[in-house]
Amino acid sequence: MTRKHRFAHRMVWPALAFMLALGFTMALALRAPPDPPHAASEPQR
Amino acid sequence: MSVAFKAVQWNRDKLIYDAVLVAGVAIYIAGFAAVAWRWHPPKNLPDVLDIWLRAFGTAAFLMLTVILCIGPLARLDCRFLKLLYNRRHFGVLTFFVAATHVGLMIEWFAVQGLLHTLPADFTTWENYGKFIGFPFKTLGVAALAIMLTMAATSHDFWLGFLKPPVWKALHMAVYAAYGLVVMHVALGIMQYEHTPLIPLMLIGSLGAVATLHLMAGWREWDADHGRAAAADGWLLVGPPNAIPDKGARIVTASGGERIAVFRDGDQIGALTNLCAHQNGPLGEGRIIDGCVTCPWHGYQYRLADGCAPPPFIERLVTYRVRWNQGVIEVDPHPLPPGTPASITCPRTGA
Ligand code: HEM
Ligand code: FES
Repeated sequence: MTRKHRFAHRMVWPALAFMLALGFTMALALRAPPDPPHAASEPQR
Repeated sequence: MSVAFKAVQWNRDKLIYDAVLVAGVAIYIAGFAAVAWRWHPPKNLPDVLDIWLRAFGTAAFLMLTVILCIGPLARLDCRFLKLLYNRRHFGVLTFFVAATHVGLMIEWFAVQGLLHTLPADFTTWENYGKFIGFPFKTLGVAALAIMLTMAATSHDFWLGFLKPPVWKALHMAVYAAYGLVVMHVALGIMQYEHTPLIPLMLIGSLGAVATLHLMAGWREWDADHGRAAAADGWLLVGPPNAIPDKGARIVTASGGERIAVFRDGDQIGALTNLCAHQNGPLGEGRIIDGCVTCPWHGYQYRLADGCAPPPFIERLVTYRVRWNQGVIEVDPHPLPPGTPASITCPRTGA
């Protein structure tokens, strides 16, 4: 890896890591509340 | 190594590595299935398949996590270099575990006579516009396609054919595969099952991967910028024990050139980190049969002078090393290829 590559890499990876963390956090925050226990349905796939 | 070169494909270390790897994965999958079986005893065949589906899915995800942690771990602590040395087999096994996960998923649909409903999961185009509800199986397929490409091109033939920079770039795609799998789980099973174990698995994995990369990046930045150089310009390598026996520690000269400082018992020598064959990272290799052995195709060089043993003719640039008050230092000015420059160190203790 040349120094230029290393520099580009240092700039790009935090952005990608941030996007992934954001995607995961949103998926967690936006998910539907759990079913009430008596109405347990087959998990959907 | 032009004359009848035979790459070091298999050796004792690699066999032990593979045996431990396969045993570890088998124990994890069997353990997962045993616990899940107790927790939610399966009522029918689809339930049974579901347990195995999850066992293989989580195994593949955790293996991908470990693969991404090995690189930074090896840079942080030389004891982990052993893991790096044979990481390719780890990757290929991960692909097979993930492929089994997919096979089990197809079987789950098949035993219920639902196979015909599967394509709709991929072709309900309006779902691609959603965030929650995005076709998470497509994310899994994309990840699997990347892993297949990597597993299929992991052989040395492809490394030679594609040339190392392209091959290396291709293999950086493992990070894309990892991101896709995280979202495959976050938008898939995490939406339907409310056990805290799934977010915990994802947070733990993301946290470990990010923290280790940050730590290693920090260390590397330090090494590239501020590695304590003696007044006369020699670079600090560390006490001899900091260099793994039969392994190397890599230091970076101010111009960005990397130097691999190897230790073989009490013999210490420094070579360029670039293998003469295809610029493989020599410092990530080990000393096998008395020779520094490149991790990529097994080209070998004598530690003493950087020359390949006869009948081979390759020669590497060497660097002068010295023992200075308990620590090893290296002179960043390269010597002509093949110049003897290794030293015997007074006491290494390890
Ligand atoms: C690199 C490839 C893949 C990995 C590492 C992976 C990993 C996982 C993981 C960790 C889970 C969650 C299991 C749980 O905690 O219960 C999961 C679930 C699932 N995956 Fe994958 N997956 C991959 C590829 C795929 C592909 C290609 C498909 C479909 C074509 C797929 C279909 C599913 C399904 C249907 C579930 C839900 C399982 C359930 O309801 O128990 N996966 N996967
Ligand atoms: S043996 Fe091929 S790059 Fe080193």
